[in-house]
Amino acid sequence: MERTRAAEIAFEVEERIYPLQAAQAAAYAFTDRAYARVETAGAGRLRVALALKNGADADARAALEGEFRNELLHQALRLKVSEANRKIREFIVTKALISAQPAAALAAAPGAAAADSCPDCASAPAAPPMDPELEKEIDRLLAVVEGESGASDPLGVAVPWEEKFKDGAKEGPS
Amino acid sequence: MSATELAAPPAIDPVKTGFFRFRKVAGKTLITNDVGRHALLSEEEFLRFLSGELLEDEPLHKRLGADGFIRDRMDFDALAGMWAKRHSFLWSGTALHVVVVTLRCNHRCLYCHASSVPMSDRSTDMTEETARRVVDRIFESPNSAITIEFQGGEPLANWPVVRFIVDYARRKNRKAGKSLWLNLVTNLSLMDAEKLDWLLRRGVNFCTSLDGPAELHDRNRPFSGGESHAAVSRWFKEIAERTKRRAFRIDALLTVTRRSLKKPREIVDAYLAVGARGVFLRPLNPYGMAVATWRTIGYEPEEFLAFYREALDRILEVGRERTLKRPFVEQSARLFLAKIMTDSDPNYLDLRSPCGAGIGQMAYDWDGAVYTCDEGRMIARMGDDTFRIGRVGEGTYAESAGHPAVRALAVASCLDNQPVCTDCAYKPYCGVCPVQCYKEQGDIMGRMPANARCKISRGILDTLFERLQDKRNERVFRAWLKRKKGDAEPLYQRA
Repeated sequence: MERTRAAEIAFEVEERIYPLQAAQAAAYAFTDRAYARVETAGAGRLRVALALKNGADADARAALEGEFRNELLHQALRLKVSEANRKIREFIVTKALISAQPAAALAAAPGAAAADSCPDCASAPAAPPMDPELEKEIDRLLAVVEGESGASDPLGVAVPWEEKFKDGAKEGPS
Repeated sequence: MSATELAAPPAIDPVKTGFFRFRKVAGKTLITNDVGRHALLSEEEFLRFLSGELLEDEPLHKRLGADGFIRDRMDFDALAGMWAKRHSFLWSGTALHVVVVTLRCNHRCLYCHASSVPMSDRSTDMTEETARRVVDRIFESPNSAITIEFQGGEPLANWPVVRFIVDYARRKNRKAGKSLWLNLVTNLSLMDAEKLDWLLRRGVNFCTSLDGPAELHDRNRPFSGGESHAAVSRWFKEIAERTKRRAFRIDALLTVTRRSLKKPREIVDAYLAVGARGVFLRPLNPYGMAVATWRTIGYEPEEFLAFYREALDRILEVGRERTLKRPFVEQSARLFLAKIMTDSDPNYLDLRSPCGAGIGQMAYDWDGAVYTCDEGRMIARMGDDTFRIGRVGEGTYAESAGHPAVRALAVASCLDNQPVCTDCAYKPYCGVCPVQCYKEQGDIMGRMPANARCKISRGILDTLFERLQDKRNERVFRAWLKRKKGDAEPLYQRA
């Protein structure tokens, strides 16, 4: 580590171990707390400088240095993993995203044939969760709702007087 | 600094030894592969497996061969079938639709993730017009089975809109013919006999919160109308009794706070006392009110795991005493065990790769705003709209499902893209929550070595593999996974 100004720390990084993309991503992750600069430092070497926006004491610089080194490692690994698993990752993510699209949107999209179905799953639709008794009850209740005029009338003000009191069991208001 | 000389790694037979990930668990070596099969090997067995010295006629060779660990014994068609079954959610589309009908609530829970508002503030009640648009949007989902989950606030505070959505969704579904589930997440304090009859007659499932014994529950969940525990216990028992032999049901969720940590056994017993079929031991999450109260009610992952182990052991104790026909389950363990002990995946949206954000669930706020997931909606309540993917009545369902936020979360939660996860023995059983990573670590990719959720998942899985070594526990676990005749296959699972 090289100390440039009181508030700034700088690192030289070997590109063979930490590629430019990883160094940039690591430096970027600190832009909420520090001003970051990434530049070349000779053949196969990079220089990353971080200047803390607030506070520049030794503890803050030491913490920043430690965190940056961890972040650099994380980003380099992430890049490696991403590259190594590109095919499987692209397959999984594409399948998942396509499955969330309505059929109409897929039919209109170029390359719609990519939405092929899973041989094991397409033939096994989810079982209905209801029991038959409940289904009958719901059908009956919906028939009642649909038989209504459509307007909500919880107090029954739209029901004709004769119909409301047709059995004579109840008396109308005096 | 002096360097320690490392022993040479054991030899691997490149012809016989197939791909595996490994981890030391309870003095043995756990190996797993991409189709989710596993084996716990002694050191001697592990070394013989590595060096290809297992004899073809010995049982271990046969078992590892059938599970896809022996390279020259791989049945590729069978393994591909297992992989497809385990990832069937990749072909199904968005199943869970969370609808926030109001943010009003009569509780002031110390950990409230939803940032609720007082009962007097009706400005966050969903209107019938918005509700109609929400249901119309939900039915555009390509999934042949959908769940509408009412959330809040307390959804019963906007009862007319709950009623409207239930009836309107059922009517729409007559034409759509989907498998339709309706779930009401409620604190039950506004329940009455009339509402309950209405909901039961329409096959609505219930989910409530129960934090354990009365004293603990009422301290975590202050209720302006009196004692929360008394209300929830009363209605829980009645609903459990009335839904006993039906396809729909009531469950309860536990949120573990610092105050819960000393009462694992008492909490399990409180669930048994109300007739619950199980308990879901969920850690606290960093959303809403929980951020402000974390110093008082928060804890470290290790503290949660100590609590978890003790509670699980009490549940196993109960399981060994009970008839296996009436199991009492721990839900997070059941979800992991379903992945470990069967070839299927329970489609728990927070524990799959990629996670369910936008492609397994969507959340609809009271004003019609659409989010990738309920957690994304919670973040929005904290002033950050990063995970908003549209609004009902504007744009299309396809635009929401293909929104850049959905794509980013799918990539970030794909474990094949995560350092640490990609090599972890628990990869086939686990998942990351990129929204929680964003909240806790400032990046949807997360940093697993310092990630609290990762520590907790690893700890739970270690515990399960340890407990599985006792045959009596294995019997209890198997009873948890048995489905009774007539039980519907769950479409999704989430906390």
